[in-house]
Amino acid sequence: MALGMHVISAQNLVVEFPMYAAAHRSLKKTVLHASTGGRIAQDARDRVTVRALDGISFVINSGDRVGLVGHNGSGKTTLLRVLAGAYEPVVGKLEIFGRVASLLDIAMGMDNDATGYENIVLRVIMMGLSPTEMRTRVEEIGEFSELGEYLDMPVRTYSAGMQMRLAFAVSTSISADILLMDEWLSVGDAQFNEKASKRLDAIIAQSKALIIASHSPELISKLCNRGIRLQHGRLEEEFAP
Amino acid sequence: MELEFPKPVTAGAESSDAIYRVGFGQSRRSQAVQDIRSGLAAWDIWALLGWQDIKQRYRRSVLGPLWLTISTAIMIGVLSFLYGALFRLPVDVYAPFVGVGIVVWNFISMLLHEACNVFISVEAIVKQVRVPLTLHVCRMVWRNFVVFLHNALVVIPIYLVFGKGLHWDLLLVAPALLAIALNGLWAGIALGILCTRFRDIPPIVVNLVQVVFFVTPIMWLPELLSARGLTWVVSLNPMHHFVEIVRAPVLGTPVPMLSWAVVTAVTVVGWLIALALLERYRHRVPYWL
Repeated sequence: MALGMHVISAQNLVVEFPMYAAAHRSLKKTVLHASTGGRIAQDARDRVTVRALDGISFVINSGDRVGLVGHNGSGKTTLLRVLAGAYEPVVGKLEIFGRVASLLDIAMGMDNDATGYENIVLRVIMMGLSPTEMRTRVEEIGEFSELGEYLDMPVRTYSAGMQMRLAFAVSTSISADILLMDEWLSVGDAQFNEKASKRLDAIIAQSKALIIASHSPELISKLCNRGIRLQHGRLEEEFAP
Repeated sequence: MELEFPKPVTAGAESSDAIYRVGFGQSRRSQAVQDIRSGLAAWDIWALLGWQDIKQRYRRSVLGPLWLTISTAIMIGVLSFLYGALFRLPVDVYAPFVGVGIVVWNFISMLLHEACNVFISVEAIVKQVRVPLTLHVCRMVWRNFVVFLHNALVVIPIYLVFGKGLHWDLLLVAPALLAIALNGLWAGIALGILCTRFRDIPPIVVNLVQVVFFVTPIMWLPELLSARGLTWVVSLNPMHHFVEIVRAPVLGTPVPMLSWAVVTAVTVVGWLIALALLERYRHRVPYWL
């Protein structure tokens, strides 16, 4: 396989969301559409779509630290989800070389009634580790979270800060080639946050590429060597942060 | 150029040549087949997740999943007593019949109910990581199989008291359960996709399942209808055949060829439908959530 230095190449990515209002989403409209000809049918056919990404193209090379900026609703999170492989683009080509770690919603798959340890297992598996591989990591993750005996208690009993610590410890336990982040993860009290930042720095240093969406120009200029500005789903400009 | 998708959930994905590609003209069909294949292959993952679901459901109860066994036992006990008397059937005929029937029916109806929400309930995962849709369906089927095993405990005492002892026919229960599970998989894929798109379908399914319960000979014996020349009501009901392929061998009666023929036909047609839906809409599911 011809593998250049690029880890992600995207060509003309288009993502469209169908907008189903509560009424639109129902079978009624579709069935009525089949049986009647009037305005309702028109409704069902001409459904409103929102173009969340509109012809985005870029190449990300090994070593790139890319900051995604743009207003709310400009398509940053959608783009990250496309890169994570969750949303498949309607049009366009996307190639990703390497293992992707998605830190978009670090509380994903948390089960409030399960214990801390069980949640570590659930989450790690969802991130792509095999159950055997996972068993070796659980201790390390538990230790990092500093939750001690709480790990044997249901997550429901945790404070919000403790839940975040656990989620953070798990999410950042897997090394990956490509890291996707939606804003910098900041967790817990000052002391833990410092430790967390160090860990994030470490996994970023190990990764080949980082793509982070942020509203903070300082963060982007500190962290990134490339900036991409999105507006209304279009790639407006590339800039040096 | 044929390119293999990497297994979306793998341990070995650390190698840097793990590639994710979309838009390179891969056929929708091969992607759908790949989804099913890698979903099934990740058995260690869905087994663990499904087991976790059960543990979570009964977390704070002392008896845990045995509650299922107890409530099924009470239900079957009451039914055998009351309806046995209503239908004037000897308890050694009616109790095993209704016992096995209810346990199998519970399995089937739970599969159908949960098939509707199979993707809706894992929205957070579907929207964030690339996992084969089939994996979620496998998790659902496995979870309900475990529940079924708990329920099936009820049949053991009934069998010891009224059963015909060990006989070879019992071996037919294994392929029958496998057939039900295979149908649970296609139903999960097909209903899962449809219900994610059209949120009115789950209540329709719930309603239909309830109606079918009364139409299917579970609480009443099929002979009651054939005596009135209404055999077709039973023969045309596919659910009857699904129940029958498990119930008949346990009761020690021969399984009608018709039942296996219907089950096979439903399985084939159902999988074709599921494949067609998966082929067309697999990539749309995250957008609908």
